Amino acid sequence: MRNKRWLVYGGLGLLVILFPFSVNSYILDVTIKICLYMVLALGLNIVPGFCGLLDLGYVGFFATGAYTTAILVNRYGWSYWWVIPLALLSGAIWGILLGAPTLRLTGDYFAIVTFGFSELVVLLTRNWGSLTGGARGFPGIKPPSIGGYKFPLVPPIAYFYLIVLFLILTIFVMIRLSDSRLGRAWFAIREDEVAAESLGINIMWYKTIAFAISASFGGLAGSFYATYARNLHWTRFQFWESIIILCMIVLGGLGSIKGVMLGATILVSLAEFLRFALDKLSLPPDTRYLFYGIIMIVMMRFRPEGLLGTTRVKREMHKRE
Amino acid sequence: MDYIISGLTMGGAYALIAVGYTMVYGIIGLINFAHGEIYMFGAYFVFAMIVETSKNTSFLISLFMLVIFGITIYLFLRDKFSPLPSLALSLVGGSFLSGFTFFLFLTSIPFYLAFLLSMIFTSCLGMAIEFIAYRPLRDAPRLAALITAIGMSLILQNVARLIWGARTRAYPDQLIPSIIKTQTINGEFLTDKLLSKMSFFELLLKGHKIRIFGDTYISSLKILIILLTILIMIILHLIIHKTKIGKAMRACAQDKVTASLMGIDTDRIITYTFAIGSGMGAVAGILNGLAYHNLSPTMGYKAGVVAFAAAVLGGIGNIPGAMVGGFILGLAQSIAAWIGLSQWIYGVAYAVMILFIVLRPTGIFGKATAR
Repeated sequence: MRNKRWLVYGGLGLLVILFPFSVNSYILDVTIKICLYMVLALGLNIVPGFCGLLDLGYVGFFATGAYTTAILVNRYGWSYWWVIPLALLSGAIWGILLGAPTLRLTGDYFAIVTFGFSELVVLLTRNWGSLTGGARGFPGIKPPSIGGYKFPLVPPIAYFYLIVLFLILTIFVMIRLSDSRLGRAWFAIREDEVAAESLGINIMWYKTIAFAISASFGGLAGSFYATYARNLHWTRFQFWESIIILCMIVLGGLGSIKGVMLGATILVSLAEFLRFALDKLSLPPDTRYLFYGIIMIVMMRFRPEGLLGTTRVKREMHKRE
Repeated sequence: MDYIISGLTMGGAYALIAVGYTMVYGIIGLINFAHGEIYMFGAYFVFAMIVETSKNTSFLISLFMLVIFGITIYLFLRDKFSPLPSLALSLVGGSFLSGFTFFLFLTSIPFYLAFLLSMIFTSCLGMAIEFIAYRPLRDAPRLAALITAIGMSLILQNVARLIWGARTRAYPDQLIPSIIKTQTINGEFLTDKLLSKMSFFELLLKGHKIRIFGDTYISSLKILIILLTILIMIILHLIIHKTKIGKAMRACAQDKVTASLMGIDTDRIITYTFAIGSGMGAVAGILNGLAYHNLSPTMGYKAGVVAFAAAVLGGIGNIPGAMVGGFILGLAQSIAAWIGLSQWIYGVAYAVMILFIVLRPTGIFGKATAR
């Protein structure tokens, strides 16, 4: 039995290693995007999925991670590999700073504060020209290198391996978390806060931890994005980006790791498809958000547990208060 | 002085939107993220009615209106008839009304009429949204309702983008009655001599800039906007405190279950709340369109956030608080612009909002109940 499992993993590993050599660079680029969004969505999933709180400012942590990376690598000449833990840490610190005072409020207020935070981050990146390049953006971020080998952009094979590594790390952490004491405490909080507290769970503490972990994955994804995109622009970090990630979770299933990954795959592919389709119809590209809105409403109305929802969430979302 | 006046103008618009947020929150405990979009539609409806819109665009808007009217009529007929006939009736009524609006959009109609109709249309929009999106989820977990509200906001914003395109529009000057125009007539500046001959109100009605002192002029439009805002708020106050509907609203806000036991049709009251809030949002949108010549599909989202901050500032659920909060934020933004932080005016609103939520979530006049 055990041997069989390793065989499957080995086969999957081989597929991943061979994959970039068998497709053209457009498909590879889309795959990298899917993996990036999987990391983002899995990170966000902790807050609404595991704890039942709405986080509307996730992209703020994505932005801090990205800009931290860009500034440290370009201005201070750090190696990218040293920046990664810092990007993780910067997300966590911001998460704690923001979460600690606001998480004692009800979910609505928390949602609004996170939203305000991400908009403030956008304003900062746009207006603090000397640090972030301001409205023109931050161009020419140096690629990471191993030994003397610099990561080439075309084809982005090295980047593919890097993001797959990040993704595996994220999935691993998520699976471990959801089975851990921490994860069970989160589920308890989501299901019934009062009951959880009376069982001795320190709600504030567990919520803050959740928010900090979620934020640090945002930072991780941001650091990857900075080196992969090689230039940052504030428009990339606006509020709607958070909503897209939220939509992935809603579509795939709140709190379900497989579901969230499916949601990310579907929505990134949909975005690629719509980019061509809307262009053909000569409609503004932003109209694609219409579909995200429809997906969110239809899912919440008819299948609030998502496509691959866990039975736990299903029971809860169909419960009437 | 100029900054104070424009701060008050902006503040008036924020206050009107904030009241919509706060009323809905007070009664069903939901942040209606789509409220900013209703404000945007209010402004766009007037735009579509006062200018001659092309056939295609008019058709698109009427199609949208068909959905809205249909749902609204169904909502009211549902209690009286069985589902099927009321569905048929609402389809007929909806098509009739939206066919009528097609001509309204196609041709150019007077501004005041457009103003009134726009308020009615947005009220219908608000009621329809509540009925199709929020009502089915009223007893569902909070998260589901919030996500639905965001989804609704996205849908409305992009419907507007589909209909009117992403670029910025402005009300054409010649179609706005001269009383509420920003510019001086024929671009002619007033001399002291002319000014001394006219009374304050004459000037107000002529649509000129009015000199306060020294070189300071205020456009009569801005004064009118501020006065109109205050007037509407007085009316709202009377509705809530003197009428039966208002009494029922207050009862629902306090305790929905008990209110329904006392024979109040809570669903109907919630519908009315949405209608009133949306109508006021429309007024704010139109006034803003007049003052700043700036209509875009994202205007609702921007103003909506600031207005929400205003509602938080005044203590959410508290109507006079929301009004005061709106004016305070409008002033704070224009002061920020005045001291040279014009890039940061939205940042000021977000920062004030976060500070208030963190330090004093009940707002300046807040009730003792911490949420």
